[in-house]
Amino acid sequence: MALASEPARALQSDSGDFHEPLPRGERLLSEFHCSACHTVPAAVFPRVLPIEAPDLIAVGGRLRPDHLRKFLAHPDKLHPRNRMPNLFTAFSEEERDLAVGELIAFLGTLGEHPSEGTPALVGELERGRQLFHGVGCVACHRPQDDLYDLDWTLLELLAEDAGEDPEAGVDESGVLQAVDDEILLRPGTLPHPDLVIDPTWLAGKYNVAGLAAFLEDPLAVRPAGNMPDLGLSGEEAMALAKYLLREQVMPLDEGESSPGLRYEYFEARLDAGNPDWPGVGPVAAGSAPDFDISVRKRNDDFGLRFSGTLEIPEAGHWSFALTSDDGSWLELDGQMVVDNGGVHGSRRVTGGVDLKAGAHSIRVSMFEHGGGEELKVQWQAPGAEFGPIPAEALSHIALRFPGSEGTGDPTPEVIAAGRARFVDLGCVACHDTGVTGVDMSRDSFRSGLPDPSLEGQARHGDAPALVDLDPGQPSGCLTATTDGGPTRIVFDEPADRTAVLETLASLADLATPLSSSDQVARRMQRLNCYACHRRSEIGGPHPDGADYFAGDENAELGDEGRFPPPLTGVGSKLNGSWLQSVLLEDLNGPSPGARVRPYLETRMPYFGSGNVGDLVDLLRDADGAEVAGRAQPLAASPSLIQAGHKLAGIGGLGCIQCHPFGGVPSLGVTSVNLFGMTEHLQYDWFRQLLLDPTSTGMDTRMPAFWLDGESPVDVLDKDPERQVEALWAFLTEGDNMMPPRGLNSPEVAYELIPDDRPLCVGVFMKDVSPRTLAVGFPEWVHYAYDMQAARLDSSWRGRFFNTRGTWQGRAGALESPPSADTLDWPEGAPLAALEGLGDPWPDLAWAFGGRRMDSQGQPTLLSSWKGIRLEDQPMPWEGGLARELQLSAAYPVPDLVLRVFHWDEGGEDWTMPAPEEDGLRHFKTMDPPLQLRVQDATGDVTPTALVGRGVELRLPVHWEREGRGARPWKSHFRVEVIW
Amino acid sequence: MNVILLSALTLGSGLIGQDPTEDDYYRIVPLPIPEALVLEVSGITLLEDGRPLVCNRRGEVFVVENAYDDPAEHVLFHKFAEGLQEPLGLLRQGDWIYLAQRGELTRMRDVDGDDRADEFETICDTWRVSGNYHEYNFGPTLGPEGNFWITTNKPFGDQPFGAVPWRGFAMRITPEGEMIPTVCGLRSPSGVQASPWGDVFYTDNQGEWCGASKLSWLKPGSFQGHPHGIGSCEQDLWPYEHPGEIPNRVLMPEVSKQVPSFQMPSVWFPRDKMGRAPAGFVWDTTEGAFGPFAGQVFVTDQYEASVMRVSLEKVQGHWQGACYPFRRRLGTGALRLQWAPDGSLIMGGTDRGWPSLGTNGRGFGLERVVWTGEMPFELLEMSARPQGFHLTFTEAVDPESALDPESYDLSSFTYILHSTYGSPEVENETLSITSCTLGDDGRSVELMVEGLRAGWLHELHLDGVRSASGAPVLHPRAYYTLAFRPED
Repeated sequence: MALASEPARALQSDSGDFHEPLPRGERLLSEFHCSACHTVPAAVFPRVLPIEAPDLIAVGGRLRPDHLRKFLAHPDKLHPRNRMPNLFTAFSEEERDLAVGELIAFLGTLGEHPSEGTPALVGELERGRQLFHGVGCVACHRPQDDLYDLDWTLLELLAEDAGEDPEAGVDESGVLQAVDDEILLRPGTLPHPDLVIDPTWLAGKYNVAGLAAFLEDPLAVRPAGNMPDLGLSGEEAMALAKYLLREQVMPLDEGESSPGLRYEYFEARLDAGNPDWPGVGPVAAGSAPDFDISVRKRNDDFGLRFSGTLEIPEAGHWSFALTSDDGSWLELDGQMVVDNGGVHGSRRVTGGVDLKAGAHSIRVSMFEHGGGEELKVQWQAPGAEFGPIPAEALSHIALRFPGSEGTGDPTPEVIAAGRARFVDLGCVACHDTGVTGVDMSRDSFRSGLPDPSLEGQARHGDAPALVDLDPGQPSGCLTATTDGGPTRIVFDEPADRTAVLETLASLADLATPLSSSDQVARRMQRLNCYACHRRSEIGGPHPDGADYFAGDENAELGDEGRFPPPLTGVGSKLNGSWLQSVLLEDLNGPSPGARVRPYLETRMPYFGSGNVGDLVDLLRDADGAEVAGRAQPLAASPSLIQAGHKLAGIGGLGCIQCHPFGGVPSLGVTSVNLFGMTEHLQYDWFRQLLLDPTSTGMDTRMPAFWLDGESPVDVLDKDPERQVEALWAFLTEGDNMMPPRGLNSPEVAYELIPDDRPLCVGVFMKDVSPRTLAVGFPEWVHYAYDMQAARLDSSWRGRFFNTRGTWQGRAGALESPPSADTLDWPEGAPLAALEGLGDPWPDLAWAFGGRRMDSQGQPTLLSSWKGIRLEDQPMPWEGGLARELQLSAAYPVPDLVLRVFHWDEGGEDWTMPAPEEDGLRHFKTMDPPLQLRVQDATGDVTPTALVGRGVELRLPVHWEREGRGARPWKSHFRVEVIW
Repeated sequence: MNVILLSALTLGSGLIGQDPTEDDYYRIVPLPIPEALVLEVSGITLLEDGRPLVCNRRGEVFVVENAYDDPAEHVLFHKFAEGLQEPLGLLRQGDWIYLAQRGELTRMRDVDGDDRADEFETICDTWRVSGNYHEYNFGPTLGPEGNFWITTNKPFGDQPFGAVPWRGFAMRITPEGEMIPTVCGLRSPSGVQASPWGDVFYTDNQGEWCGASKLSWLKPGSFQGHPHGIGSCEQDLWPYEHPGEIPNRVLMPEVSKQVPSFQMPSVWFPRDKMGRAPAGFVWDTTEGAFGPFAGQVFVTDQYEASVMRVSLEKVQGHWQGACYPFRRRLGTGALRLQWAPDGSLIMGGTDRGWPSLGTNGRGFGLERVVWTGEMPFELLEMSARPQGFHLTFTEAVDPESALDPESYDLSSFTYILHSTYGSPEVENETLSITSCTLGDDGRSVELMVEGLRAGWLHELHLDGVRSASGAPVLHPRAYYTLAFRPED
């Protein structure tokens, strides 16, 4: 092992050794499930919680009988550091073989046996190979290819390895010979037997369907969560299973040759540039007589790959022609001979090559995006014309995975004997079978449960309680010999045995309650979180395997872009609810948005809620999430949000250089999305990250913006604390966030951001009118005015408008304000002449008359009805909106009433609130709640409240004559609203 | 070889050995638009001081500074107004700028002289808006009685706020805001312009019920062919006869027998031979500053990114005439044109939503077409005679080639009025030229033709004709829409 170049993080502890947070003896008591047979004191039990054994409900359909036979007979040999006890130490060889046979007959009845084989598709195996080395399997399991080999396809490697003996290292019985641990176990990872996956051994153990089902839902078989759920789809699980069991496939040179070609059929929009479609698995495969594309199942977005052997009758220069729609390629012996790639209509391309007489491997690939589809393959013998390739020249080897062999047809008596063995040998202590019967119940067997009522009821071998074991006089499992009862653990390392003895000598110590930190460490070790995550200087990708952790190369983030994040202090970093989601929800689903780091190839697995338990609470406690004095964010105000917006964009701190903004990519490298940040993070941690990135222990490339306590950006007096508060306030806007300046994408190219002057845009607005004027203000309070009905429709805060639907293509989309923080103004005419103040509001045709712009660019909207002219100037005010309303008329139109505001809801006993200290009336119980003031020339005035079907505020108009002119009668109101 | 050398010598030393091209006579001067500005030009007018004012489809209006620099190196754009709903034309009258928005005819002006509009007045919003993207309004142009003429596009697809009347109309709007629907049956009338003599014309785009793109006279009360909006003619606001039932699949020359108010076009623009999407047009009022075509009409084609030329004459009370290729390879699909004070032609446009052959790669643009001062040898005008056509050239012709009937190819075809998209060219016929007579001016030729058909488009090719100095015709083809045949 060359460890010379390992990075600093490989030094896991001061001593340079891997640091085990859990004392080994304690861990072994847990891993070996000692409590299955030995009663454990209740106080100690939490420290030796067993790692549950595999569920055997479908074991007969999953494992191959030969494997079971060898495994049951020699669990310790087949599988070093195995946790399965040897059941037959006290049996003669004949007795053992008889018992094993009966057990297998019984186990064979559990689960279904798929008898049909499964096609072996090179592309699918290749996909599984990528998954295995990509999604995180190699965090715990040894890689099966070294990184160099991953650059080559399996077929290429197969050709390279043709001389090697695949059976090396395995004796005649298929049992692994003594193998140096250092080779099998990556130094530094937890010494966990299942971490070893030898392809040959695995191929002997599983059948394809059984392994695929296991990989798709591993928690169903291994409820302990020691094999977590990586969120593989059924297709992915099958590809991975086929890759892992690739040695079951009939070797290429021994297969029987069949006429025609093998085909693989793809359904996807395939790469038009070359015939290698990495990551795309075929959805069907089989044999075809020739290059027949009628095997396709649809006419667009599909691909076909034909492969097999082409018999060349005579040596010479051979030419080949591909006519296809869209692209196609012909390769012989791995060499491209005809390249007719690209998206195109029916097109013929030819190519030639010198060939020896005899068999050559041929591969023809074609894809179709849209429109017509065609594939014609021709050849031209030396000196001859082009013509079709005769069927007798084509052949292929049918590759298949075998189906389940089954266990023959054992008699019911044998099966019943196996079932009895299963009980008598104590298998029921650890394994569920799904078979009913009191004797098959795990609980009825166990003596290890800390349940006083079960104490003394141990059936099995009279295993003594744990406290009764005498470390001074080891016996049974604790001896190096095979003495003791028929069922016993065999510790294959003396150090392990010593560690257990030491722990048993001070068993009472295990009753001491653990700190949250220690409990976290134990939980993380148990679930092997440390294989990917570093926490408090422990764990993280081991240098030997670190190079397998990969990410989107375009992310250009270095190790941050390929390693799962460190978990130091994570309890005080992430919100509890988000932490809960990360641990307990499948974030690998179809929506990649759910993943905070979609650029990591490694997936965060799912361990099952039972195994995660109260980890969130432990983390929060251990990391001080609840301690007093943690920084809290300021309440978001419009000015704070605006400052944050400026800081996030170009010209500010430039967060968007590295952080994507929702669906809009960042400008440079990519990292965690700005969307969702404040839902995931605790403010105190966010603040710490920004003020001093290195203090978070994240090894982050996050820049330190504030040198010497001063910001480079002249916002909020360059005060770092206030700028952090502003960024947080901006980020809490969520979906309403105004896109920061400088983003480069079609989505934001149409974003209107009012800067120093108001912005106006005319749009079709949904549920309002096809003649709507939207006005946005630099104060981030905006409104929509319906020109068709001559009325103020709504006002809102935050983002102003995205005009993509109005300004792109033929456009004509119905737009909506991109903010949920809206206030709807009363429908209908702004004023009406009423005989009684409470009369129903009439439908009047107020006419829009245009607008006047003042020198600051603020519009005043003009409308009229029956000679009454209204000038309405809405403008930002105190984070809300104020309206200056000027009325003029030729004569004092009687009974004119202004409709100030309307709520749909409001009880009969509703009363008008009095103005508070700020001069505003606070309508706290209304929906929406708001603060309002109405003024006329005399000062504050009280509108009349109409209570009935909702609440409505109305105000009669008082005219005053001013000057002469055509409309000398005037009235003026100012309405101020904060919502 | 002699011929080529001779013609080259007359054109200046830079052209020896090459056939003349459009660039030799009409240069294109692009006005650089800043990267941050999306100027999908949809209207152009001149401020009183001569600076161009342009609007775009985004509802913004800009003053263009230093627009006439050549080369244009210091062009600046200053925002004059925003918040308008898809204005597709600008017209200045005194201080006021008039424009048609989707929902209203508006006028605006800059009161305080800071080059920003301060006042916007709604003159008329009698029509309503359905929310369909295709309900564009074009114009206005000022009619002879002082009314503002606009044309309204018909919708395609969803009308989320409900169907509305008066689509596919030309309307007059009085200065007081009264709306007078004036012509019905328009399809996609993307140019509307009053002629120097007062009659108002418009361009329409080929499609259903519009067999070929055309320039047509907006004769009050007439029906232009598309039945989409004629239900509105039942309203009292329509001051004319209802056009009646519109027959489907009828030869164009036959339509007026069934629909008396049907207006035969003045000029058909055959698809791809001329263009696909005619839009803005102007009469050449430069009195020679723009070359030899004074009094004729220049029409943009948005698809071709070209300018076409049209000559009109009145025959039996009907305006008709011919179209000729003029200038291709503009930077963008041109929508609008406007004479600059120096007699060059300002052109602006966009291909947003519809394809164009524009060359600047930005999808919109603003440019000037400037006459180099060199005289192109062109067919200046093709006009109808009772028994043939009278051809006038921009320069004296070579009599030998011009009087040889073999120098010409003449054929005719017509179109069908039907509900499907566009019309094939039907009833094709090759016509024989029986005699060619040279005019006294040495640059005109009278063709006597057998088989003229009224209602047919006559396609003339002049590949054999040479100028007196031996040059071929720069654009040796013309398309005359012989709606009516002159009487003897």
